[in-house]
Amino acid sequence: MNFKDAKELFRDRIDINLYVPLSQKMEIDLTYAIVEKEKIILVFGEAGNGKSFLMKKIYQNLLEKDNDFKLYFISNPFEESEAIDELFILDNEEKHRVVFIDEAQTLTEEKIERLRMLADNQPYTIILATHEKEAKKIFAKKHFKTRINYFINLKPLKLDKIEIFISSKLIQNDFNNIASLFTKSNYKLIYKLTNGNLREINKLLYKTFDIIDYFKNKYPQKVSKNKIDNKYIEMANMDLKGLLDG
Amino acid sequence: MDRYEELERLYYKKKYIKIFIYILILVSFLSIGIFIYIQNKHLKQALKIEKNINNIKKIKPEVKKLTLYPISPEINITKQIQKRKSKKIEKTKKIEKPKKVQSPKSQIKIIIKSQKQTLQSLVNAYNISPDYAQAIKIAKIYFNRHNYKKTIEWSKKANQIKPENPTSWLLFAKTLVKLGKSKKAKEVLSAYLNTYGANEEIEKLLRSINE
Repeated sequence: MNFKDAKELFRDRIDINLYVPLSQKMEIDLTYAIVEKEKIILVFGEAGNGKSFLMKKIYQNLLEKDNDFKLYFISNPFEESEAIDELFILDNEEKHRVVFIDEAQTLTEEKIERLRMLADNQPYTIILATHEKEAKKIFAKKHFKTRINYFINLKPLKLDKIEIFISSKLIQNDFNNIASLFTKSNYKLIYKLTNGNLREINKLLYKTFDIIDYFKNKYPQKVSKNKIDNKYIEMANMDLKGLLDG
Repeated sequence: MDRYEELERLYYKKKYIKIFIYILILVSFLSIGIFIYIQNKHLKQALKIEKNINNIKKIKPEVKKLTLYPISPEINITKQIQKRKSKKIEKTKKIEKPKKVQSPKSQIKIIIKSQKQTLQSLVNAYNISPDYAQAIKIAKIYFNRHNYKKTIEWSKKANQIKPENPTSWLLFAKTLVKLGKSKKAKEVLSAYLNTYGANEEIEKLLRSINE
Protein backbone atom coordinates (compact mmCIF):
# COMPACT_ATOMS: atom_id res chain seq x y z
CA MET A 1 0.00 0.00 0.00
CA ASN A 2 1.63 3.16 -1.16
CA PHE A 3 0.35 6.00 0.98
CA LYS A 4 3.15 8.26 -0.28
CA ASP A 5 1.73 8.28 -3.80
CA ALA A 6 -1.87 8.20 -2.68
CA LYS A 7 -1.47 11.41 -0.68
CA GLU A 8 -0.65 13.30 -3.88
CA LEU A 9 -4.26 12.81 -5.00
CA PHE A 10 -5.32 15.09 -2.17
CA ARG A 11 -2.77 17.84 -2.64
CA ASP A 12 -4.51 21.23 -2.57
CA ARG A 13 -4.43 22.13 -6.25
CA ILE A 14 -6.89 22.22 -9.14
CA ASP A 15 -6.10 19.23 -11.31
CA ILE A 16 -8.92 18.33 -13.65
CA ASN A 17 -7.60 14.79 -13.91
CA LEU A 18 -8.49 14.33 -10.26
CA TYR A 19 -12.00 15.75 -10.68
CA VAL A 20 -14.71 13.66 -9.06
CA PRO A 21 -18.19 14.35 -10.46
CA LEU A 22 -20.08 14.79 -7.18
CA SER A 23 -22.97 16.78 -8.52
CA GLN A 24 -23.70 15.85 -12.09
CA LYS A 25 -26.85 17.93 -11.99
CA MET A 26 -24.87 21.14 -11.44
CA GLU A 27 -22.44 20.19 -14.17
CA ILE A 28 -25.29 19.56 -16.61
CA ASP A 29 -27.13 22.70 -15.52
CA LEU A 30 -24.11 24.92 -15.96
CA THR A 31 -23.22 23.41 -19.36
CA TYR A 32 -26.82 23.80 -20.50
CA ALA A 33 -26.89 27.46 -19.40
CA ILE A 34 -23.70 28.11 -21.42
CA VAL A 35 -25.01 26.30 -24.48
CA GLU A 36 -28.18 28.34 -24.21
CA LYS A 37 -25.99 31.49 -24.23
CA GLU A 38 -27.30 32.88 -20.96
CA LYS A 39 -25.74 36.26 -20.22
CA ILE A 40 -24.49 36.10 -16.62
CA ILE A 41 -24.18 32.98 -14.50
CA LEU A 42 -23.25 33.16 -10.84
CA VAL A 43 -21.58 30.18 -9.17
CA PHE A 44 -21.28 30.69 -5.45
CA GLY A 45 -20.59 28.85 -2.23
CA GLU A 46 -18.23 28.77 0.71
CA ALA A 47 -14.49 28.70 0.05
CA GLY A 48 -13.31 25.19 -0.72
CA ASN A 49 -16.67 23.84 -1.86
CA GLY A 50 -15.41 23.07 -5.40
CA LYS A 51 -16.37 26.14 -7.42
CA SER A 52 -13.00 26.34 -9.16
CA PHE A 53 -13.01 22.61 -9.89
CA LEU A 54 -16.48 22.79 -11.42
CA MET A 55 -15.58 25.84 -13.55
CA LYS A 56 -12.32 24.29 -14.74
CA LYS A 57 -14.01 21.01 -15.54
CA ILE A 58 -16.68 22.62 -17.70
CA TYR A 59 -14.15 24.88 -19.36
CA GLN A 60 -12.09 21.77 -20.17
CA ASN A 61 -15.14 19.91 -21.48
CA LEU A 62 -16.04 22.81 -23.77
CA LEU A 63 -12.46 23.09 -25.00
CA GLU A 64 -12.40 19.43 -25.93
CA LYS A 65 -15.66 19.68 -27.82
CA ASP A 66 -15.82 21.17 -31.26
CA ASN A 67 -18.15 24.12 -30.82
CA ASP A 68 -18.77 27.71 -31.79
CA PHE A 69 -17.60 29.22 -28.52
CA LYS A 70 -14.54 31.29 -27.91
CA LEU A 71 -13.47 30.42 -24.37
CA TYR A 72 -11.66 32.45 -21.71
CA PHE A 73 -10.65 31.36 -18.24
CA ILE A 74 -9.51 33.96 -15.71
CA SER A 75 -8.56 32.25 -12.46
CA ASN A 76 -7.53 35.42 -10.61
CA PRO A 77 -8.95 38.68 -11.95
CA PHE A 78 -6.78 40.72 -9.59
CA GLU A 79 -3.58 39.29 -11.05
CA GLU A 80 -4.94 39.01 -14.57
CA SER A 81 -6.46 42.45 -14.99
CA GLU A 82 -4.98 42.71 -18.46
CA ALA A 83 -6.86 39.62 -19.54
CA ILE A 84 -10.09 41.25 -18.37
CA ASP A 85 -9.30 44.39 -20.32
CA GLU A 86 -8.81 42.29 -23.44
CA LEU A 87 -12.41 41.17 -23.18
CA PHE A 88 -13.58 44.65 -23.99
CA ILE A 89 -11.58 44.83 -27.20
CA LEU A 90 -13.96 43.63 -29.85
CA ASP A 91 -12.74 41.74 -32.85
CA ASN A 92 -14.58 40.61 -35.93
CA GLU A 93 -15.00 37.04 -34.80
CA GLU A 94 -18.63 35.94 -34.83
CA LYS A 95 -18.17 33.27 -32.20
CA HIS A 96 -20.09 33.55 -28.93
CA ARG A 97 -17.65 34.23 -26.10
CA VAL A 98 -17.77 32.37 -22.82
CA VAL A 99 -15.76 33.94 -19.99
CA PHE A 100 -15.09 31.98 -16.83
CA ILE A 101 -14.01 34.28 -14.00
CA ASP A 102 -12.94 32.57 -10.81
CA GLU A 103 -12.47 34.51 -7.54
CA ALA A 104 -14.86 37.16 -8.86
CA GLN A 105 -14.86 38.82 -5.45
CA THR A 106 -11.53 40.42 -6.40
CA LEU A 107 -13.13 42.32 -9.30
CA THR A 108 -13.55 46.04 -8.78
CA GLU A 109 -17.06 47.50 -8.93
CA GLU A 110 -16.15 49.29 -12.12
CA LYS A 111 -15.05 46.05 -13.78
CA ILE A 112 -18.22 44.27 -12.66
CA GLU A 113 -20.30 47.04 -14.15
CA ARG A 114 -18.38 46.91 -17.43
CA LEU A 115 -18.79 43.15 -17.59
CA ARG A 116 -22.52 43.55 -17.04
CA MET A 117 -22.77 46.00 -19.90
CA LEU A 118 -20.65 43.73 -22.08
CA ALA A 119 -22.95 40.80 -21.45
CA ASP A 120 -25.95 43.03 -22.11
CA ASN A 121 -24.81 44.35 -25.45
CA GLN A 122 -22.42 41.78 -26.90
CA PRO A 123 -22.52 38.01 -27.56
CA TYR A 124 -20.96 37.13 -24.19
CA THR A 125 -21.70 34.61 -21.46
CA ILE A 126 -19.95 35.54 -18.24
CA ILE A 127 -19.63 32.96 -15.48
CA LEU A 128 -18.64 34.44 -12.16
CA ALA A 129 -17.47 32.20 -9.32
CA THR A 130 -17.43 33.87 -5.96
CA HIS A 131 -17.64 33.28 -2.24
CA GLU A 132 -21.08 33.23 -0.69
CA LYS A 133 -20.68 36.54 1.15
CA GLU A 134 -19.49 38.33 -1.98
CA ALA A 135 -22.36 36.82 -3.96
CA LYS A 136 -24.74 38.48 -1.51
CA LYS A 137 -23.05 41.82 -2.16
CA ILE A 138 -23.57 41.38 -5.90
CA PHE A 139 -27.22 40.41 -5.31
CA ALA A 140 -27.71 43.58 -3.35
CA LYS A 141 -27.29 45.67 -6.48
CA LYS A 142 -30.71 45.61 -8.04
CA HIS A 143 -29.69 46.37 -11.59
CA PHE A 144 -27.19 43.51 -11.46
CA LYS A 145 -29.54 41.01 -9.89
CA THR A 146 -31.97 41.26 -12.77
CA ARG A 147 -29.15 40.58 -15.26
CA ILE A 148 -28.04 37.30 -13.65
CA ASN A 149 -29.77 34.50 -15.51
CA TYR A 150 -28.50 31.56 -13.57
CA PHE A 151 -27.45 30.85 -9.98
CA ILE A 152 -25.51 27.78 -8.93
CA ASN A 153 -25.04 27.32 -5.21
CA LEU A 154 -22.35 24.83 -4.22
CA LYS A 155 -22.98 23.50 -0.75
CA PRO A 156 -20.65 21.46 1.49
CA LEU A 157 -20.63 17.72 0.97
CA LYS A 158 -22.83 15.45 3.02
CA LEU A 159 -21.55 12.27 4.64
CA ASP A 160 -22.51 9.95 1.75
CA LYS A 161 -20.89 12.30 -0.79
CA ILE A 162 -17.68 12.38 1.24
CA GLU A 163 -17.53 8.61 0.97
CA ILE A 164 -18.06 8.80 -2.80
CA PHE A 165 -15.50 11.57 -3.16
CA ILE A 166 -12.70 9.77 -1.30
CA SER A 167 -13.30 6.28 -2.61
CA SER A 168 -13.82 7.47 -6.23
CA LYS A 169 -10.64 9.49 -6.15
CA LEU A 170 -8.63 6.53 -4.86
CA ILE A 171 -10.23 3.92 -7.12
CA GLN A 172 -9.94 6.10 -10.23
CA ASN A 173 -6.21 6.25 -9.59
CA ASP A 174 -5.71 2.55 -8.84
CA PHE A 175 -5.50 2.79 -5.08
CA ASN A 176 -8.28 0.26 -4.52
CA ASN A 177 -6.43 -1.38 -1.62
CA ILE A 178 -6.25 1.95 0.25
CA ALA A 179 -9.88 2.79 -0.57
CA SER A 180 -10.93 -0.52 1.00
CA LEU A 181 -9.25 0.45 4.30
CA PHE A 182 -11.71 3.29 4.93
CA THR A 183 -14.53 2.53 7.37
CA LYS A 184 -17.81 4.32 8.10
CA SER A 185 -16.22 5.57 11.31
CA ASN A 186 -13.40 7.20 9.28
CA TYR A 187 -15.90 8.96 7.01
CA LYS A 188 -17.91 10.16 9.98
CA LEU A 189 -14.80 11.57 11.64
CA ILE A 190 -13.68 13.26 8.39
CA TYR A 191 -17.15 14.77 8.02
CA LYS A 192 -17.08 15.98 11.61
CA LEU A 193 -13.65 17.57 11.24
CA THR A 194 -14.17 19.18 7.83
CA ASN A 195 -17.90 19.97 7.77
CA GLY A 196 -17.95 18.58 4.24
CA ASN A 197 -15.65 21.24 2.82
CA LEU A 198 -13.79 19.74 -0.13
CA ARG A 199 -10.60 21.74 0.38
CA GLU A 200 -10.50 20.74 4.06
CA ILE A 201 -11.09 17.09 3.17
CA ASN A 202 -8.19 17.17 0.72
CA LYS A 203 -5.88 18.82 3.24
CA LEU A 204 -6.86 16.39 5.99
CA LEU A 205 -6.37 13.29 3.85
CA TYR A 206 -3.07 14.55 2.47
CA LYS A 207 -1.78 14.95 6.00
CA THR A 208 -3.31 11.67 7.22
CA PHE A 209 -1.64 9.68 4.45
CA ASP A 210 1.65 11.44 5.15
CA ILE A 211 1.47 10.44 8.83
CA ILE A 212 0.49 6.84 8.04
CA ASP A 213 3.34 6.64 5.54
CA TYR A 214 5.78 7.80 8.20
CA PHE A 215 4.63 5.27 10.85
CA LYS A 216 4.37 2.49 8.26
CA ASN A 217 8.01 2.95 7.42
CA LYS A 218 9.33 3.49 10.94
CA TYR A 219 6.98 1.38 13.08
CA PRO A 220 5.17 -1.01 10.69
CA GLN A 221 3.69 -2.96 13.63
CA LYS A 222 1.79 0.17 14.71
CA VAL A 223 -0.13 0.53 11.45
CA SER A 224 -3.13 -1.72 10.91
CA LYS A 225 -3.26 -3.57 7.60
CA ASN A 226 -7.03 -3.88 7.65
CA LYS A 227 -8.23 -0.39 8.39
CA ILE A 228 -7.27 3.22 8.84
CA ASP A 229 -7.05 4.05 12.51
CA ASN A 230 -8.99 7.20 13.44
CA LYS A 231 -5.96 8.11 15.51
CA TYR A 232 -4.07 9.18 12.35
CA ILE A 233 -6.97 11.32 11.12
CA GLU A 234 -7.14 13.00 14.53
CA MET A 235 -3.40 13.54 14.52
CA ALA A 236 -3.57 15.07 11.03
CA ASN A 237 -6.30 17.41 12.21
CA MET A 238 -4.22 18.42 15.24
CA ASP A 239 -1.23 19.13 13.02
CA LEU A 240 -3.32 21.18 10.57
CA LYS A 241 -4.68 23.22 13.45
CA GLY A 242 -1.12 23.89 14.56
CA LEU A 243 -1.63 22.32 17.99
CA LEU A 244 1.88 20.94 17.98
CA ASP A 245 3.34 24.40 17.50
CA GLY A 246 1.27 25.78 20.35
CA MET B 1 12.18 12.76 18.03
CA ASP B 2 10.33 13.22 14.77
CA ARG B 3 7.49 15.72 14.49
CA TYR B 4 4.89 12.98 13.96
CA GLU B 5 6.06 11.02 16.99
CA GLU B 6 5.71 14.16 19.05
CA LEU B 7 2.26 14.59 17.52
CA GLU B 8 1.36 11.03 18.54
CA ARG B 9 2.49 11.75 22.10
CA LEU B 10 0.34 14.88 22.14
CA TYR B 11 -2.57 12.90 20.72
CA TYR B 12 -2.41 10.33 23.53
CA LYS B 13 -2.00 13.07 26.12
CA LYS B 14 -5.12 14.80 24.85
CA LYS B 15 -6.97 11.51 24.64
CA TYR B 16 -6.20 10.63 28.25
CA ILE B 17 -7.18 14.10 29.42
CA LYS B 18 -10.45 13.70 27.49
CA ILE B 19 -11.12 10.30 29.11
CA PHE B 20 -10.28 11.75 32.52
CA ILE B 21 -12.70 14.65 31.97
CA TYR B 22 -15.42 12.25 30.82
CA ILE B 23 -14.95 10.11 33.92
CA LEU B 24 -14.92 13.24 36.08
CA ILE B 25 -18.17 14.47 34.53
CA LEU B 26 -19.71 11.02 34.88
CA VAL B 27 -18.69 10.76 38.53
CA SER B 28 -19.96 14.29 39.23
CA PHE B 29 -23.29 13.50 37.63
CA LEU B 30 -23.55 10.26 39.56
CA SER B 31 -22.69 12.01 42.83
CA ILE B 32 -25.22 14.76 42.14
CA GLY B 33 -27.79 12.09 41.29
CA ILE B 34 -27.14 10.15 44.49
CA PHE B 35 -27.13 13.36 46.53
CA ILE B 36 -30.48 14.45 45.04
CA TYR B 37 -31.89 10.97 45.64
CA ILE B 38 -30.86 10.98 49.30
CA GLN B 39 -32.08 14.55 49.77
CA ASN B 40 -35.40 13.60 48.23
CA LYS B 41 -35.68 10.61 50.49
CA HIS B 42 -35.03 12.76 53.56
CA LEU B 43 -37.41 15.41 52.31
CA LYS B 44 -40.14 12.85 51.78
CA GLN B 45 -39.61 11.51 55.28
CA ALA B 46 -39.67 15.00 56.73
CA LEU B 47 -42.87 15.79 54.81
CA LYS B 48 -44.44 12.59 56.05
CA ILE B 49 -43.58 13.45 59.64
CA GLU B 50 -44.84 17.00 59.15
CA LYS B 51 -48.06 15.67 57.68
CA ASN B 52 -48.54 13.37 60.62
CA ILE B 53 -47.88 16.22 63.05
CA ASN B 54 -50.37 18.39 61.20
CA ASN B 55 -52.96 15.63 61.36
CA ILE B 56 -52.41 15.32 65.08
CA LYS B 57 -52.64 19.08 65.46
CA LYS B 58 -55.88 19.09 63.49
CA ILE B 59 -57.36 16.46 65.75
CA LYS B 60 -56.08 17.95 68.99
CA PRO B 61 -58.10 21.20 69.06
CA GLU B 62 -61.32 19.24 68.52
CA VAL B 63 -60.52 17.02 71.45
CA LYS B 64 -59.77 20.06 73.57
CA LYS B 65 -63.02 21.69 72.52
CA LEU B 66 -65.10 18.63 73.26
CA THR B 67 -63.48 17.76 76.54
CA LEU B 68 -63.06 21.37 77.59
CA TYR B 69 -64.49 20.96 81.03
CA PRO B 70 -66.47 17.77 81.22
CA ILE B 71 -63.33 15.61 81.33
CA SER B 72 -62.03 16.72 84.71
CA PRO B 73 -65.28 16.37 86.59
CA GLU B 74 -65.91 13.10 84.83
CA ILE B 75 -62.90 11.36 86.37
CA ASN B 76 -64.17 12.13 89.87
CA ILE B 77 -67.75 11.67 88.82
CA THR B 78 -67.32 8.12 87.54
CA LYS B 79 -65.99 7.07 90.93
CA GLN B 80 -68.79 8.90 92.66
CA ILE B 81 -71.32 7.39 90.30
CA GLN B 82 -70.16 3.90 91.14
CA LYS B 83 -70.54 4.59 94.85
CA ARG B 84 -73.87 6.28 94.37
CA LYS B 85 -75.07 3.57 92.06
CA SER B 86 -74.73 0.92 94.68
CA LYS B 87 -76.56 3.15 97.16
CA LYS B 88 -79.24 3.99 94.60
CA ILE B 89 -79.80 0.37 93.75
CA GLU B 90 -80.45 -0.27 97.38
CA LYS B 91 -82.79 2.74 97.54
CA THR B 92 -84.66 1.83 94.36
CA LYS B 93 -85.02 -1.67 95.59
CA LYS B 94 -86.57 -0.23 98.73
CA ILE B 95 -88.80 2.12 96.75
CA GLU B 96 -89.72 -0.35 94.06
CA LYS B 97 -90.73 -2.97 96.55
CA PRO B 98 -94.01 -1.32 97.62
CA LYS B 99 -94.68 -0.54 93.92
CA LYS B 100 -94.36 -4.16 93.10
CA VAL B 101 -96.94 -4.88 95.71
CA GLN B 102 -99.24 -2.15 94.40
CA SER B 103 -99.11 -3.12 90.67
CA PRO B 104 -99.37 -6.54 89.05
CA LYS B 105 -95.99 -8.26 88.31
CA SER B 106 -96.78 -9.02 84.72
CA GLN B 107 -97.56 -5.35 83.94
CA ILE B 108 -94.21 -4.12 85.35
CA LYS B 109 -92.27 -6.74 83.46
CA ILE B 110 -93.93 -5.69 80.19
CA ILE B 111 -93.16 -1.99 80.78
CA ILE B 112 -89.51 -2.68 81.65
CA LYS B 113 -89.18 -4.97 78.69
CA SER B 114 -90.71 -2.45 76.27
CA GLN B 115 -88.45 0.33 77.66
CA LYS B 116 -85.43 -1.91 77.28
CA GLN B 117 -86.42 -2.70 73.74
CA THR B 118 -86.90 0.99 72.91
CA LEU B 119 -83.55 1.91 74.45
CA GLN B 120 -81.77 -0.96 72.74
CA SER B 121 -83.27 -0.08 69.39
CA LEU B 122 -82.22 3.56 69.90
CA VAL B 123 -78.66 2.50 70.76
CA ASN B 124 -78.58 0.20 67.72
CA ALA B 125 -79.88 2.97 65.49
CA TYR B 126 -77.25 5.34 66.91
CA ASN B 127 -74.48 2.80 66.29
CA ILE B 128 -75.51 2.48 62.66
CA SER B 129 -75.76 6.20 62.12
CA PRO B 130 -74.54 8.46 64.97
CA ASP B 131 -76.95 11.32 65.43
CA TYR B 132 -77.11 14.15 67.96
CA ALA B 133 -80.85 13.92 68.65
CA GLN B 134 -80.61 10.15 69.09
CA ALA B 135 -77.75 10.48 71.59
CA ILE B 136 -79.70 13.10 73.57
CA LYS B 137 -82.77 10.86 73.57
CA ILE B 138 -80.74 7.97 74.97
CA ALA B 139 -79.07 10.23 77.53
CA LYS B 140 -82.51 11.49 78.66
CA ILE B 141 -83.79 7.93 79.06
CA TYR B 142 -80.82 7.10 81.26
CA PHE B 143 -81.31 10.35 83.18
CA ASN B 144 -84.92 9.43 83.83
CA ARG B 145 -83.77 6.02 84.98
CA HIS B 146 -81.24 7.73 87.29
CA ASN B 147 -78.44 5.97 85.50
CA TYR B 148 -76.12 9.00 85.69
CA LYS B 149 -73.01 7.23 84.50
CA LYS B 150 -74.75 6.36 81.25
CA THR B 151 -76.31 9.84 81.11
CA ILE B 152 -72.83 11.38 81.23
CA GLU B 153 -71.59 8.91 78.66
CA TRP B 154 -74.40 9.70 76.18
CA SER B 155 -74.46 13.44 76.81
CA LYS B 156 -70.73 13.36 76.03
CA LYS B 157 -71.41 11.44 72.82
CA ALA B 158 -73.99 14.04 71.82
CA ASN B 159 -71.57 16.80 72.78
CA GLN B 160 -68.94 15.33 70.46
CA ILE B 161 -71.31 15.63 67.52
CA LYS B 162 -72.52 19.17 68.23
CA PRO B 163 -70.40 20.80 70.91
CA GLU B 164 -72.15 24.14 70.46
CA ASN B 165 -75.60 22.70 71.18
CA PRO B 166 -76.55 23.57 74.81
CA THR B 167 -78.84 20.50 75.36
CA SER B 168 -75.93 18.09 76.01
CA TRP B 169 -74.33 20.64 78.34
CA LEU B 170 -77.63 21.16 80.23
CA LEU B 171 -78.09 17.41 80.62
CA PHE B 172 -74.52 17.00 81.74
CA ALA B 173 -74.83 19.83 84.28
CA LYS B 174 -78.13 18.50 85.58
CA THR B 175 -76.52 15.08 86.04
CA LEU B 176 -73.69 16.67 87.99
CA VAL B 177 -76.23 18.43 90.19
CA LYS B 178 -77.95 15.11 90.77
CA LEU B 179 -74.61 13.66 91.78
CA GLY B 180 -74.15 16.52 94.25
CA LYS B 181 -71.50 18.21 92.15
CA SER B 182 -73.20 21.60 91.93
CA LYS B 183 -69.90 23.46 91.91
CA LYS B 184 -68.67 21.41 88.96
CA ALA B 185 -72.02 21.89 87.24
CA LYS B 186 -71.66 25.66 87.57
CA GLU B 187 -68.14 25.47 86.14
CA VAL B 188 -69.39 23.47 83.17
CA LEU B 189 -72.22 25.93 82.48
CA SER B 190 -69.88 28.91 82.86
CA ALA B 191 -67.45 27.20 80.46
CA TYR B 192 -70.25 26.93 77.89
CA LEU B 193 -71.09 30.63 78.26
CA ASN B 194 -67.40 31.56 77.94
CA THR B 195 -66.91 29.40 74.89
CA TYR B 196 -70.13 29.78 72.94
CA GLY B 197 -71.64 32.97 74.36
CA ALA B 198 -74.94 33.75 76.04
CA ASN B 199 -77.71 31.16 76.23
CA GLU B 200 -80.99 31.60 78.05
CA GLU B 201 -81.45 28.00 79.20
CA ILE B 202 -77.85 27.67 80.39
CA GLU B 203 -78.13 30.94 82.27
CA LYS B 204 -81.46 29.84 83.75
CA LEU B 205 -79.98 26.57 85.03
CA LEU B 206 -76.96 28.39 86.37
CA ARG B 207 -79.23 30.79 88.26
CA SER B 208 -81.30 27.91 89.68
CA ILE B 209 -78.14 26.16 90.91
CA ASN B 210 -76.96 29.38 92.53
CA GLU B 211 -80.29 29.80 94.27
